[in-house]
Amino acid sequence: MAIELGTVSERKEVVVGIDLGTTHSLAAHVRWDGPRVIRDRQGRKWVPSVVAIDEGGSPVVGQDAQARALTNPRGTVTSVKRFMGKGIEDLGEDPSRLPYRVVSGGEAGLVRIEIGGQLYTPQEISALVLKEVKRRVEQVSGLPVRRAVITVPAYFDDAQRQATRDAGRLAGLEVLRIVNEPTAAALAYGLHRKQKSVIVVYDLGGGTFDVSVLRLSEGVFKVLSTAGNTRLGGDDFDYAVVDLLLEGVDAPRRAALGEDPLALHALKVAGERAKIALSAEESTRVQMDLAGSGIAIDREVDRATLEAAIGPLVEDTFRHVRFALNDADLDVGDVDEVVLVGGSTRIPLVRRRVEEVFGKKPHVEIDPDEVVALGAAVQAEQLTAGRQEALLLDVTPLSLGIETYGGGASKLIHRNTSIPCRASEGFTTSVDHQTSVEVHILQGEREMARDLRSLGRFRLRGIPPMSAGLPRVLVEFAIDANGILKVSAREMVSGALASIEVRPSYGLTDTEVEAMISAGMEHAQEDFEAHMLADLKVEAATVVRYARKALRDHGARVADEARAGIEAAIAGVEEAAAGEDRGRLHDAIDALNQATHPIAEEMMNEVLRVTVTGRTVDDVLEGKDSGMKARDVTLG
Amino acid sequence: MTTTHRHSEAPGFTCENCGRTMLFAPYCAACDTVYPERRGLNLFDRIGLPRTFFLDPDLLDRREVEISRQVHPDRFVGREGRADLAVSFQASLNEALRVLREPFARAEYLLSLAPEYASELRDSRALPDGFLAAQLELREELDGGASEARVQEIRRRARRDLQEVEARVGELFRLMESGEGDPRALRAEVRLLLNQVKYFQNVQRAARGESDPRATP
Repeated sequence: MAIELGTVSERKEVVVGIDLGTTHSLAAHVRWDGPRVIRDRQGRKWVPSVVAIDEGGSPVVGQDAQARALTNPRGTVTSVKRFMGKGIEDLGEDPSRLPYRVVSGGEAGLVRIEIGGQLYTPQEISALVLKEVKRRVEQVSGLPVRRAVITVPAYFDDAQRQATRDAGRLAGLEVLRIVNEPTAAALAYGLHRKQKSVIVVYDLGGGTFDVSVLRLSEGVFKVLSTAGNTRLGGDDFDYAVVDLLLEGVDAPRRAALGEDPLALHALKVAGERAKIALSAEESTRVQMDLAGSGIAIDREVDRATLEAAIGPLVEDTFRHVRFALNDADLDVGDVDEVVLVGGSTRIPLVRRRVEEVFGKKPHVEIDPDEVVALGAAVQAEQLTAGRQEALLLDVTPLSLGIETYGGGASKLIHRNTSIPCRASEGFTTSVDHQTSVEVHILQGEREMARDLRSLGRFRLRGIPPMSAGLPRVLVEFAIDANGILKVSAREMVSGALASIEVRPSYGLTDTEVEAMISAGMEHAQEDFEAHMLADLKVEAATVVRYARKALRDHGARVADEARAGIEAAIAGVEEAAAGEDRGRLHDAIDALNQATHPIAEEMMNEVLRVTVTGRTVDDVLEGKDSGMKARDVTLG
Repeated sequence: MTTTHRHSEAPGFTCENCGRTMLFAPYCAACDTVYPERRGLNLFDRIGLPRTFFLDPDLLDRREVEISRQVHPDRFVGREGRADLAVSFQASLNEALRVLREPFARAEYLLSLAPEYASELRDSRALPDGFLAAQLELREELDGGASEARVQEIRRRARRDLQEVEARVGELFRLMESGEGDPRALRAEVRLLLNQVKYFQNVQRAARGESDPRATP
């Protein structure tokens, strides 16, 4: 007993595992009785990975920000994880379809997100989410949170891991280790205590599907292969239900829906509710009256119909499963354990098909939403408490190399190479008396530099003038246990170590991180001034349009003063939009957003009434299932 | 010198400091002693394996687990001065495993340990007569829209060719390791076989034409 008291009093910090998710984040730690998810004072475990900037320019994170996503979509950032370590051209989607604005910033054209006239890196946005996680844990535990393990998808490349680690540092965390989500899930199940097995982690979340094949041998985990689709998940199932609900609605009404973000949201929520209800029941009834769009829905949806609608999407996941197994040189029959991760694996069809494909029951004992954070906590504990049961061995998901003369690429490290690793290769000059060479770092599987992802460039200077072909430049790549790459180059003939100037175009240098921490969220952006005024005018027009529509559809529900206030604010925005004063226009838009707040609240409440029966508002905002019997979904 | 003697049957070093057997030559995890001079050792000695072409894959897997447990950077979290060293230890373990696991890379590495490697083997691009012409023809056929059945046939043949090369390389090493035949002539023949490998692999890859189904890589 005395010993236990002693350890408790010596606990000076909480070491956490954090699942930094696309839609939600959560933290866990290891207690005397095992790993547990940490809930805040209100009992919430989720921090929605949503960041908004309020009227005063201060960040709002989590549930509060999520509430704003509906009323102020342009000022609210969701799913920032998709942008971590990415350039605009890597997004694979039309940035103009996003509710918020992303621009290209920095030399490598990395994504920057504009909110309220400020530019943010995805790292900074993620850091705000992590800070909120940290704050909640500190508040509830009364202890500081300094060190953490953060999870990333197994397919995350160097730049994405680097960005995640930077986000942790920006949030004031020492990132002990970046751990792959599937490995964390296996750890949570304690599979590391098995002698030897092949584990498949099937992770079907809200927006992404990942499958990873792990080999475990005497407590050492190794990711053998990974595959997946970053555009397939529960959201697609929700939309499949929405399509069912909208059967029979004519084209003009559907078109009107496109102009009505609240109605769309209400439909999506109803679709999700019906989907969740059908996990427990054979059939559910959806009733909605979307007055603004003139659409009334009253439909009974049964499980078979849902399964027919989402069946092809579910089958698509097994194409990736086969690909991953193939890559690992294994057959379905070699798999010993299957672990399910992600909320969408609650769907009976998914469980049934997984069981059929693998011929064995998957692990479902741990909440599929919590399993990754719990595993991260186990790893954090093992790294800090000095009792290392499991060891995680990773591979690099993509090949790395440098550009060679003539636009070719020379691979130094091939994909699926175990990390940490090092590789070096000698190069020489192509021009007489060349005193510097450029090292262009590339990532990917293609042959030509132009087809590969550029990770950065730096110049090796100070080569003594020699004939072409004489200098011997040795380029070394080193990847650490977190999958993060460092590149160096030296000229061997001259003997002297030439000066190296590394300018990573992805991630952030230590100095940049320092600068960001000290400068807070201040950003220089003179270059964008003109551009932003134009954008702000577009935003002004949108805000005015929505405000008018809201007044027309829901104006009757709010007080006369509120209505008059909105009309005055609309006039204010229109006047400011005619001028060139960005600050003034900004204020006018804020004022209008402020003025529409009562109406927005009214609309929000209406949307929430769709699903709120039997659940707390937090539950609804957290989008989680509390086991309610949602047979009837009604609106208004 | 006696304490670092490599036993021919039971490879591995004995730690000069604590007397324990070491699987990973540059570092004794039992007493935390570093042997920087052993970094230049050949890959077999580095991870305590006999120098042979005939390595048991299970033994390699076992070494990976055993040595990773001793040197992986995760073991050294928060330990000043050891973390960077651990990264280089694990990297050198991984390098050894990568080369020794794959039969063709292992064969090439064994060639590189031969005395005549730099003078005769390293830069040799020698191929059997007519080999290049035959390969070029296959590639042209593949690029020029061969029928699906023909593509499959080419793929199967490339696979069979690779299996045959591997079997023959194994046979040559068996002779070498049992002291039969002229080792130098045997190595020259291994060289000739290994030179063909990448051509077969390229044909196989081209015929497979598989692509990653990941939606956004």
